[in-house]
Amino acid sequence: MFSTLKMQILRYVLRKAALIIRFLLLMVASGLVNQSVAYADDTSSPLDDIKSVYIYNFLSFIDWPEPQDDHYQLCVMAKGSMYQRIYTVVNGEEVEGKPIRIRPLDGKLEGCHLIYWQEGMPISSAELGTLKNSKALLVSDKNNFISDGIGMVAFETRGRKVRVALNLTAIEDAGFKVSSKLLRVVRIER
Amino acid sequence: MVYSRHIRKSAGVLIFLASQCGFAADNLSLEQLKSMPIEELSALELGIASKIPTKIEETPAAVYVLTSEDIRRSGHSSVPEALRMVPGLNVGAVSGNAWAINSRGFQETFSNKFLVLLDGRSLYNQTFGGVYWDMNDIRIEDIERIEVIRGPGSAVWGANAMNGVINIITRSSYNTLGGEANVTVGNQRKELGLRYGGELDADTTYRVSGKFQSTDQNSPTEFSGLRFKEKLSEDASSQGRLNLRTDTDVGDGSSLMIDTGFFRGTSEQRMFVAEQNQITDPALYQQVRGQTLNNLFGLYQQGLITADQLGASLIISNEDPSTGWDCLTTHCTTDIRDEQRYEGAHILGKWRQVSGDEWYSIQAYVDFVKRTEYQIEQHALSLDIDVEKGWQSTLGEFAIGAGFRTVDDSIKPNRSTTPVLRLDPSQRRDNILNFFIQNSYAVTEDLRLLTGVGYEYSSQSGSQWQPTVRGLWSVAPETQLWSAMSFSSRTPSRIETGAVANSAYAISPDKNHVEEQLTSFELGLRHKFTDDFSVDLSGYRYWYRNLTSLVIVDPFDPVLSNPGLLTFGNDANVDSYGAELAVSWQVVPSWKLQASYSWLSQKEGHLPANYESIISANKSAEHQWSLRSYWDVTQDLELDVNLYYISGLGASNSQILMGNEHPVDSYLRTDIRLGWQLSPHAEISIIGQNLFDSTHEEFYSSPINVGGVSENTEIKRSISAKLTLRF
Repeated sequence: MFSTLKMQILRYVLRKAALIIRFLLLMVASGLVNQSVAYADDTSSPLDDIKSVYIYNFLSFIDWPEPQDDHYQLCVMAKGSMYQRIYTVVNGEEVEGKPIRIRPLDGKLEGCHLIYWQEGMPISSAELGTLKNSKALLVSDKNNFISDGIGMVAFETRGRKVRVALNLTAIEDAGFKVSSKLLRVVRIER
Repeated sequence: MVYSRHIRKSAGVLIFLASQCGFAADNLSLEQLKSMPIEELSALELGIASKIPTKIEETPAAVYVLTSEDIRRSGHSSVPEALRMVPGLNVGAVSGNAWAINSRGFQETFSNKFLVLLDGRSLYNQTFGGVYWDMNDIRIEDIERIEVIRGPGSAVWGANAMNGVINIITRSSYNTLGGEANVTVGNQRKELGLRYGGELDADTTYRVSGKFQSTDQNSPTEFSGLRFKEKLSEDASSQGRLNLRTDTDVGDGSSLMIDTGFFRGTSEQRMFVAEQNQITDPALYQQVRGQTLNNLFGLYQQGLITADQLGASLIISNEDPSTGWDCLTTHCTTDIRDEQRYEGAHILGKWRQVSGDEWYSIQAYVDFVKRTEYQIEQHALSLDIDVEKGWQSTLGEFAIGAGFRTVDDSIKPNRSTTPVLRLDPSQRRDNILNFFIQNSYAVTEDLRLLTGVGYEYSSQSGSQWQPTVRGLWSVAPETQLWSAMSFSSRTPSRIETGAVANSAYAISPDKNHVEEQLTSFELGLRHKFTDDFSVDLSGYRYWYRNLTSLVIVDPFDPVLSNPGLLTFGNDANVDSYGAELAVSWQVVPSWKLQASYSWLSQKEGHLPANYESIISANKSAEHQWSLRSYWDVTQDLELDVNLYYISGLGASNSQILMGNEHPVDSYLRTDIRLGWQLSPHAEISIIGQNLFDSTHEEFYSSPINVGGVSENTEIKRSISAKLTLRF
């Protein structure tokens, strides 16, 4: 009887301890996660800055097919920090008198002129297929994004450099026209 | 609307120095990135820190950057031609294959006070002190930017950067994948250029590029043939070159660049040189030349023949214009129509690492050049190693570096029957060791102080210290004021310490020749009136000391045919001052204007009693202005107009040599380019140069500078079409 009580107390303590340990572990882990996220964010931010400014530049170096709207709608599927960065770049800006709007890409592709899909954001192959039919300029930093015939503009990174690659066939098939100024500084794929 | 669609770009103040600094893009705000032209954005490399601050607006020096876009739209096809666009730089074409380029005075074919670097490799020829521009005619489409620093750069770049530095930086192979071919056909120049870039593996890209060009003869000047011989314009040229560059990302913030190439070419030249008369026996001379060997000039001096008779004799003695011997005395004036031949090769490796607040770079190269002309055949083999380190601390940004350079050169007589120019010794190895340290310290939030000192030991001229103190005050976000005090020097060239002439004048070499010195004060102001309109103003006061001059010890006696004697002096002083203004205005999004004006005044101070300037203070234009207009007519059509005005140049007032010494008139040069993009893969442009001038003269070389009376030519009007294909 006494031993059963002892066992029960022990079990209770162990259970609590396990909870506490799990809680502590969670704390540490989450701390680590937070830290590593923060770290990754810090180191990649200059590259992300350049990508955001490229996205802004695309609006003036690429001609959208007719009929054109009275604004540019950016649809962005990216982590919060990247979304914020692009927002900061385009907020209040106009290209040829047309205001630039930005919203998260939440499955609704209607009205998007440029879709930026950040590497690592989940997407299914079905969703990829729908992107293809969106009539938007498709931009991503995912590996081989422009080699599968769907993507149009890719950010390629090596070491400390960002490079833009274009799939001209996909871009031209969708009716876009790229200015020579941009063509001169990018990698072109067919 | 197919009209050009632009976003607001600021008027070009926010440009970055890549060579000294690479771009610490980490420090760039989104606003700054947004205002960068697309070609600048694509060239950004993160975290490569600098010898001096990154942004031009934070640089306490007179700097100007030509971007690849400036160069493309100018229609210029070579580096020396493109340098016309830089405010405050004196650029003059001596002929179709030689240029005289310098800033802030002392313009000459061998402008020995200016350093030129191509991807960190020095193009400065230590033997003659200057740059052979024809040997460095790289494919201009491979250039990413040309950065020009006017004013002393010696504290960091070492001696010979006394008047400034031109840094030519080619594009990374990472940014030039794919193929590009360009063909230019015109009345003056034909060129074929090719490039192909690819990936060797995930971390390494390569680029092979090359070009072949041939340039036709221009027009003779009225002074051609010393005014009594046939007028010729021997200045055609042709050359070919091939380059291979690889860029590797080694990981951990390290990268490796390897660049190798070779070139070969020819450049025509006409020159008059006084050579010893080979036939001193009057009877033999009568037999060979069919004339009496007379000391004509001596007879004239003694009053035994008239000036008319002297002139007539000169012309008679030139019955055979292709060889043309004018044997006045013991020496004959030889008419040389020369084809200079050159070839060279190099291999360069550069390793860079950036980690946190520190960066390192190690660069090494071997460079070989060979150049053969009528008088001499020269070889030079150089090995150069540079190590640099930079870091950030509470005391500001630091950069230190050490370099070693060894040059083995040999100068041998070539076809000249009596070599007019010899070097003693004919072969020599010179070693140069240099160190520098530089600090950039923020005294207050608005005031930055840049101090640096360079030390150089040369086996030729011993030790030199070259300090600089520079300050930059950000008066307001749109206004910066900077000032600099520097002391710099130039190592004597081989000619100055070892030339032995064998002509009407002999030269006794000056083994104890010391370096030329310059103390300078500079002041600059940059102001951005609006995002679209900005000005950059700089002024300077220079005190040159120990300038090289040629002292006439004994004048040549034509009566007795006694050779004269010259020696290199080291005591000429020149003061100069001037100002340079650059304005950039984005009038409307599709139209940009860039204007510049520069003013220069040089005053010769103390000079030896009888002297011959090696480089003259009279031969740099006092006033220069340029106006460049870039207009995007439609998205596919560009119309660009470049105007350059250069005021007249004086004669160098040579006391020794006559003939080609004359002033050059002022000229206004108009270039127009029409560019049309046919498709994403093809562009065509029509380029007209010197449109409103059938010919004009720009510069002539002082005989002493090039070792003979070298003829310049008048630059012709040219029209050409250029087709660019990408694949």
